[in-house]
Amino acid sequence: MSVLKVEKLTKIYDLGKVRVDALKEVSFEVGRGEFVSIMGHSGSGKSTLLHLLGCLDRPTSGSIYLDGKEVFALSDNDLADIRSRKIGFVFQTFNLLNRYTALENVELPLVYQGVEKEERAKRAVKALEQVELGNRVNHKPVELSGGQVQRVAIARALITNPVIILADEPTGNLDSQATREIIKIFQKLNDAGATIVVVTHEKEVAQCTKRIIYFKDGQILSDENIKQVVL
Amino acid sequence: MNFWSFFPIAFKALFTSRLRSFLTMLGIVIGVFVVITLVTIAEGAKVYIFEQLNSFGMGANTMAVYGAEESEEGVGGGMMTAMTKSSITTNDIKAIANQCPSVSLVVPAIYGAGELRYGNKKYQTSIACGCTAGYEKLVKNLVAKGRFYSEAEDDSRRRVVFIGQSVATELFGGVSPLNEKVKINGVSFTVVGIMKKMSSMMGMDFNDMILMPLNTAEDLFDTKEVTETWVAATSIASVPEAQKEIKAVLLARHRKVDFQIRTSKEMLGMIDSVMGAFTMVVGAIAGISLLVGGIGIMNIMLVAVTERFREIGIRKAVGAKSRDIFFQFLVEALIVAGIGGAVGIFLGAVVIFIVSRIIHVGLPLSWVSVFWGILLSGAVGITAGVYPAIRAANFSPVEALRK
Repeated sequence: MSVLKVEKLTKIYDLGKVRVDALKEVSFEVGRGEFVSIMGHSGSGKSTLLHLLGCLDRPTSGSIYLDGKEVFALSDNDLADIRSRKIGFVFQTFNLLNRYTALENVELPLVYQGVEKEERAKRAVKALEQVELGNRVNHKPVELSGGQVQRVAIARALITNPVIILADEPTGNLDSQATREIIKIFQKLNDAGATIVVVTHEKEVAQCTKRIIYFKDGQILSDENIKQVVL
Repeated sequence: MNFWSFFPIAFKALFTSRLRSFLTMLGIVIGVFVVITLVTIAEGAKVYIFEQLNSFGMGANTMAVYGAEESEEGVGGGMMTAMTKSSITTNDIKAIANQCPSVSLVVPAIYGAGELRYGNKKYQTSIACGCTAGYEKLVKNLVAKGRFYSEAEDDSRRRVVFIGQSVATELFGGVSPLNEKVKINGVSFTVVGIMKKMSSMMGMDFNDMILMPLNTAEDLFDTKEVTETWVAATSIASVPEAQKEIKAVLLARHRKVDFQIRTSKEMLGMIDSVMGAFTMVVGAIAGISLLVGGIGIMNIMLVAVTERFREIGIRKAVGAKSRDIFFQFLVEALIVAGIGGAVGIFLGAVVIFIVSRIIHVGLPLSWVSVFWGILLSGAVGITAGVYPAIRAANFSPVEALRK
């Protein structure tokens, strides 16, 4: 059974005089344990797709089934619950709260699940250890390197044991060494069974996944399994 | 998330922007401080004036009669007119005492200027008052040292004088004034007693006063016109009846209304209404300060929402519901208003304490104003916080992340 099923997903931005068809009836599925990269040029619709997959936005038409459930039939509050419990996000710009420590940033999704403070801290430390930052729990983002900050963001995505991890250009702001670190972590998580979808425009990153879906003008141009480059 | 779990989040956000939070708070601090201090001082002034009136003998069963027509100048105006030309004479007083059954005590008074001399020392008193011996019954614990003059001394026009504390200190220094001879307007008097310490009221220092028998004063000031007459009714309930009786007696004698009768209730009522208006004005000033403080909070919260789009987006992306964001911003506004209110109350209490020490008048902190301070700062916090909080809560996550 697929973790993610996308059916005729369409997103149109109506900007008054201009109408942008960002996604045109896109359909595909992602199975449990898959490691998929979504590629395409700027404006191809890949980020719009990721926002829809992550329930951050609603489509103009079409459906997304996450873990067998049609998500856009749900209320905004229920979508917030889906984001909190089933999806882990990693952003290009890290999107951490600078006034919070690594530990506090990682435990943030659990705050909104109403998890007790001690339990939150325990799980946050464990998630940070998973990304090899067990010795940086009390550091704030400004006290960490770019690669370390992105690892904190990955730990935040992991803490809720999501059914899928969505990463939007996770290496876009990193140097080559940090990029390798992040890819290694994703590969390790995938080996452990995590389902990961990465949006990237870097071929080297895409080659480290197991499947590449290529987008052009809001449509899927190609979708193929590849031989993964293991780092 | 429960309501209380928003507090650590809000505190952290406020602590991060300490200076901004402090400046926002300042508006509420000033607003609540103004409410507490002004209302307490206004309330305290009212209580103080009432207490002073009571200490001068103006109990609830008393009234004052002035030999002047009703004027727009009110209570004080009646007395001031009667000082220059009064229609009430000592014969009118005798008639009131004899013909009004509801009246238990009549104390007529003549005012004049008095220059006192003791040895080579001089003292100009602002109030030289001639009144009957009944005055001692009108004012509680009047005598501090010596005695008050008697009715017999009044009847025999004895030159005896009862002096205020300031007169005693200034004129006699360390010497006991009792039984000492003092010259008033060139006439020799014997000091028989010293008055208890009085507070000043409405700019008049009653420690500066001297009292002498009415008949003696008539001779000294060469007048038979009574400036002011204090009258006590047999009870508080009989005040209206006594007022009617006095009016009837004076009308029969004067054939016109060239006098005023002011009950202490009326006078207190007038003072109460003046003080009420004063309290209203200061309340309005305080209200405006709070309103400005509230607008300050709303302004800063709106700026904070705009600046923290990304934070809102991040929080929503990791599972925050709209109501979570709403409460986070609302609680921030409430904390600013709450702490501001508490600091305002504290500063108000400190200033009231200091002021009461300086002016030597007890100013008990008005709990009503504290209540209003808390209520208003809370209301301002909620009102000022709701709109920015709604704005923050309504952003779609993707929109907030893009900003």
